[in-house]
Amino acid sequence: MSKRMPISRRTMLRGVSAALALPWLEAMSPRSARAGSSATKPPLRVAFVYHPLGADATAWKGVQGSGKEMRLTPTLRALEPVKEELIVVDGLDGRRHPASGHNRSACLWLSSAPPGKADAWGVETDVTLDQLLAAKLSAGAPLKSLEMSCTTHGELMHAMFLSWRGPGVPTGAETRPRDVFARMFGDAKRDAYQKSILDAVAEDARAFKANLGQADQRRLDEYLESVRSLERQIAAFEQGTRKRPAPKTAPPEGPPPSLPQHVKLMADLLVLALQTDFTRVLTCALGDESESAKGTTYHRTLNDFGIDKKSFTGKVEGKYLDWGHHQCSHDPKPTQPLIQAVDRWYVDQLAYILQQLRSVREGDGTLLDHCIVVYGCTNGTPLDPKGGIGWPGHALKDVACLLAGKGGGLLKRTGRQVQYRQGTPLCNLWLTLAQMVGIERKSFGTSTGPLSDLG
Amino acid sequence: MIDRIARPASNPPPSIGNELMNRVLLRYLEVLTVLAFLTANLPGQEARSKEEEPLRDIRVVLAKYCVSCHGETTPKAGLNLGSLGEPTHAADFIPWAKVRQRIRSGQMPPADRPQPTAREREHVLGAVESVLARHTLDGQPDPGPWHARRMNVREYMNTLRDLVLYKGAADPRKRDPRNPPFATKPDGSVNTYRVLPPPEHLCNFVLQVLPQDTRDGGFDTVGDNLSIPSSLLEKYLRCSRLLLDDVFALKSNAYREGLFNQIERTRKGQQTVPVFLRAFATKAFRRPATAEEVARYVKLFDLAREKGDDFDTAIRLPLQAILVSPNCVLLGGEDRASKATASVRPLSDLALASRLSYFLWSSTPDEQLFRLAEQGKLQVPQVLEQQVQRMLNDYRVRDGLLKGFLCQWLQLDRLERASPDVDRFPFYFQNNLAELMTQELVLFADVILVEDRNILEFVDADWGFLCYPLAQHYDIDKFPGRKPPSNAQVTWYRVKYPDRRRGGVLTMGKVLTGTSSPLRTSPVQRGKWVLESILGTPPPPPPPDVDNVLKEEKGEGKKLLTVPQLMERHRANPACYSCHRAIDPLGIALENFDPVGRWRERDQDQPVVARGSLAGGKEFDGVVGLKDLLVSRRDDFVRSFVEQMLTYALGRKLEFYDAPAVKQIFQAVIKDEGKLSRVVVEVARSYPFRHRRTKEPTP
Repeated sequence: MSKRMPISRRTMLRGVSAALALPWLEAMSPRSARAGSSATKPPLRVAFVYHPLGADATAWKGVQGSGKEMRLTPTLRALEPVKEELIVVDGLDGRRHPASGHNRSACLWLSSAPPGKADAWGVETDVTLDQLLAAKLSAGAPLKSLEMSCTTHGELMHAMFLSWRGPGVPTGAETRPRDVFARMFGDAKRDAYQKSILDAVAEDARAFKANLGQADQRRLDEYLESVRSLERQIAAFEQGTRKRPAPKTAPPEGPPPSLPQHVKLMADLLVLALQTDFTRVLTCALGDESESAKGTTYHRTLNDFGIDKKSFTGKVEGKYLDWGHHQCSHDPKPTQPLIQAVDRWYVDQLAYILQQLRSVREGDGTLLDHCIVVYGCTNGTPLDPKGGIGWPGHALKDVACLLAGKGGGLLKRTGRQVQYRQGTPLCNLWLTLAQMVGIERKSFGTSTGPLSDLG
Repeated sequence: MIDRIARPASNPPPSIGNELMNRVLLRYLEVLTVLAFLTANLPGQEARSKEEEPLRDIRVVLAKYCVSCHGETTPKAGLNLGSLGEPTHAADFIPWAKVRQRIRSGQMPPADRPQPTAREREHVLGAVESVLARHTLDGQPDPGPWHARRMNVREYMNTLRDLVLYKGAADPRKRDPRNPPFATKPDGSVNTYRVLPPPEHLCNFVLQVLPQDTRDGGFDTVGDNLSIPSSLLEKYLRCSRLLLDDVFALKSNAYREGLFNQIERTRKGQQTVPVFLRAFATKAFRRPATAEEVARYVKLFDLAREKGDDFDTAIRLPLQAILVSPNCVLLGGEDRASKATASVRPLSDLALASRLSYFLWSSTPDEQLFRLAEQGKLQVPQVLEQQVQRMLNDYRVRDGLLKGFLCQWLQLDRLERASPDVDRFPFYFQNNLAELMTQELVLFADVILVEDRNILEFVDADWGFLCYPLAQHYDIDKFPGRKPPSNAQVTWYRVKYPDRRRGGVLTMGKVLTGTSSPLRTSPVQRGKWVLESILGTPPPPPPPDVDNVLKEEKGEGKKLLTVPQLMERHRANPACYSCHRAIDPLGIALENFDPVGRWRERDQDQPVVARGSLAGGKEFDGVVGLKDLLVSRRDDFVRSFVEQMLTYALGRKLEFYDAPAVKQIFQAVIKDEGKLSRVVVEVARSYPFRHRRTKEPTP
C-alpha cells in the first residue's frame, strides 16, 4: 500500500531543512480562481493574525491621511507598500475577564462568550468569531477552518488557542509547519482505501455512542466531527476541479531552526491555504500567551527575533537587551525602543503575508482583494493621561487592531484610519464582520452594537 | 451594624416559610421516587430527619465572622451566607463546598478580620461537611461525572507499543538479577538502569505526529484537556501507518514477537483472518470485540483482496481501522450499557482493568489483568491490591506513574524551562547541570516508588543521589565518587547528607533553578511551587492589570535591595498582600539557595534573611525551618498528595463529593506510614475510582 502513496513516508520524514521557501505558489491555485477565468467570483476568505503579548498602543496612534497620502507610524512602516489596502482601527477595548492575566487572554480575542458563562476552568469561553464565519463561508472548501500557531510549547489552553468551538472546547492549532503541509497535501486523502477505513470507524463511533447511553457524549461528537472533516477533504480531492498537483519540493521538516524561519514557513502556508482555497477561514497566532519560561513566546529575546542588538546602543541600557519580550513589556519606560522593535517585527510578518496575498492574481484582481485579514492582540500598553506610555503593564484598553484587504467588495474604502469613541468593545468589530458576511446576529459576546463607517 | 449581622440567626427571614414548604414537597417527591424504584434506603432517610441541626448550630459563628461581608446588603463574591439555606438540588451544594474550601485553606476570613478560634473553625467545617455529605444520587454517594475521554499523547504512545508487543511483560532493558535497581555496585555507585540513560520509546514517532496536550488542572489525564480537534483522526491514521511500517520492516527486534508473529501465522494460514482480527481488536478495545465489529474489519481486508492487493497490503486496512477506532482511542468504552436504572453502578470488571492500567501504566491492560477481569475476580479487594502491587513492580510504571504522575505532580516540565543567565552561571551550561538536576529528581522519585518509601521523604529526607558535577556544585564534602574522565558516562551515588540543608525535593537544583529568574531568585515562584505541589493549595491568579514583575529598585541608601526587601515593598499593597502573605514566606525560606541552587550566606553583600511566618503560625527560619513546618503539617501534605493522585487517576478535577474518598484514603495512608504504594492501592480501591454515574444529574 505504501507504494501507492504519492508522498511516501520517506519523503515526509527525510525532507530537507525547514529553511526552504515554498516555490510552488503560482502553479497551485484551483483552476477556477486563476487569473483569466472569471467565470465565478472568487470566494471570500478571512484570516485572523494574532500579535502575542500586546502591542505598544502609542505606536499605533497617529496614522493620518488616506489613500496615497496616508502616513503610517514608525511601527507600521513595513506596511507602506500595502497601505492602501488597510483600515487601521483605533479606540477599541479588548474583552475583559475577571481573572485575566496572560494565561487566560488568547481565548478572549475572538471571543463571543457572554459574561458570567464560565467553562470548567472558570474562564468565559464560547464559540469564537472565526468558527461562526467558517460555518457560513466554508461550503465547498476542503477544510472548514485552519488554525495555526507559531509556538513550540503550549500547556495552557486559554493561553494557546484563539479558536474555540464552544465553552471549554478549543479548536486546536497546528504548531508545526510540516503538519499544516500534511493536512493540505498529506497522503491520507490520496489513499484510495482511506475512505473505506473511515466508513468502518464511523460505524464504530455510532455504535460507541449508542452504548454510552445518557453519559457525556461530547467527545464522541468531536470524534465524529473529525471523521467528517477528513471525509470532506477526501471528497474535495476526488472532485476533479479541486485536484491540485502535489508540490515538487519536499515538505518542511522537523521543528524549524529559528523563530523567523518558523514564522516565515507558517506565513507561506497561510497564503498557500487561502490561495488554493483549501480553507476560507484561518487563524494564525504569531505566538501564545503562556506564562512560562524559556523557549516560549513569553521569553523571545532580540536574539530570537533576529534583531540586531547594536542598533540600540545609547538608546537602551545594555542589561535590557537580553530580556524577554514579556519582561520588557512590564518595564515599558526604559525598554520602549525594544518593545517597539519587537512590535515592528511582528508587523513585518503581517506585511509579508499581505504582500504575498497581493502578489497572487485572482479573478479580476488579487487574492488580497478577496480576503479580509484581521490583525490584532488582546493586551496592550495603555496610555497614561498625559499621552505617554502607560503604567502598569497590560490592560485591555485601546488594543492595536487593523483590517486589510477588500473582502471581495465588503470593505470598499480601505487606505485610512478609523477612530472610535473610547471604550468601544472590540466585540463590536466582530459583530460588524459577522453581519457583513450575512450572519444574522444582533449581538456578539459583550458587544454594544455594530460599528459605523467600516464598510 | 452588629445588630444587622446578628439578625438572620435570631430572627429568621420570612422566606424560610417558603423554603420549608419546598423542602416538604421535595421530600415527598423523593419518597415517591424511592418507592417507585423499590430501593428504600432507611439510613438515608434517618440522616435527612436531622438535617436542620448542623446548619442551625453554625449560623451564630457564620454571623460573627462572615456575614459582615457575605451578608444580604452587599454580598461579596455574590455569596450571601445569611440566606444560604439547606441544599436541595445538586447545585445548592456548590456554595457550601466553596465555604468549606475557603475556610479549610485559611483564605477566609481575611487576615485583617477577626479570626475564629480553632474550635469554632473545626465546628463550622464539621457541620458544613455533614451538610455536603448529604449530596447523593438516589441515596448512593456520587462518584462524579463519567466521561469517555481520548487518550493523551503519552497514553497513545504506550498503548501502541503494548498493542504490537502483545505480551509486552518483559522489560526491554537488560536486568541483572544479582544487581537489582538502585543496588550499590562494588565501586560504591548505584545501578540506575531503570531510568538512566533515558530509555528510548519504540513509538517515539507519536510525539512528532500528535499535537501536544494541554495540561490545565495539572495533569494530562484531565478529560477537559482532551478535546478532539478535527484534524486528529488524520493524525491517528498517520500514527497507525508509521507503526505498521515499523512492524512490517521489523525496525526493532522486539517486534518479532507479538503482532508481527500473529500476522505471519495468519499469512501462513495457521489462523484465519477473522480469528486474528478478533483477537487484535479485543486487545485494542480492552473488551471482547463484537461479531459485527469483526465482520466490519474482515470486510475491509476482503475489499483490498478483491481489488487484487496482496495479503500484507490488505491486512493493514483493518489493523489501521482498529488502531484509530473510537473503541481504541477513547477510554471509557469498555463498559457496556446496562439495563439497570440506578443512577450509580460499579464499573464492570473490564472497565476497572482498563482504568487501573491507565492509572498505573498509562497503557493498555496486559493479559493477566484482562484475564482476571474476564473471570470477574478483579473486584475482590485482595486481588485488586495484589494486582496493584504487581503492576507497581513492572517496568511499565516508568512510563506511567513515574512520568505521568510523579513528574507532572512535581511540575518537572515547567521546571525544565529554567534559563539561568549564561554569563553569570557559565558552569551551569558547561557541566550540563540542567540535565543532571533532572536526573537527580527523577532518580529520587523513582526510588521512593521502587522501594515503596514514605511520601513524606519528598519533603524531608536525609539521603539523595549525587554525581560528581552536582556534588561539586552543591559543595558536598566527603562525596564518594571521583571526577570522571571527560566524556565518560556520569555515575550516580546514593549519599547521606551531613545536615538538613540538603535532602528532599525542595533542596534539589531542579526545583530551585526552575523557580528562579535568569539572574535572581524568585520567592514568589518558589512559594507558588510549594503551595501548588507540596501543599496543594494553589494561589489564585493575580488580578488583571497588576504589575507582577519586580523592579530592581534602589533602596534608600542607594544600595540594591535584596529580593526579600523587594517583596516586603510589594506586600505593602493590600491588594497584593492578601495572597502574597501566604506565598512569599515559603519562598523566602529558600533564599539561602541562589538562582542555580547553590548554598549562599550572603546576597548582594548582605546576609541572607530567610525568616518568615504564615498567618497565625509560628515563625520559621530557612530551609530547615520550612521543612519542619511542612513535616508538622504532614496531614496537609499527605492529603494534598492523595488529592492530586486521585485527580490524576480519575482524570477530572475533584469536587466536594470526593471528600469522603479523600479522607478514607488519607487515613489508610497515615496508618501505613505514608507508603507510596498504599496511596496507589487506596486510590484504586476508592469509591469514585470503582463506580460511575450512569447519567448526568439534572442541574
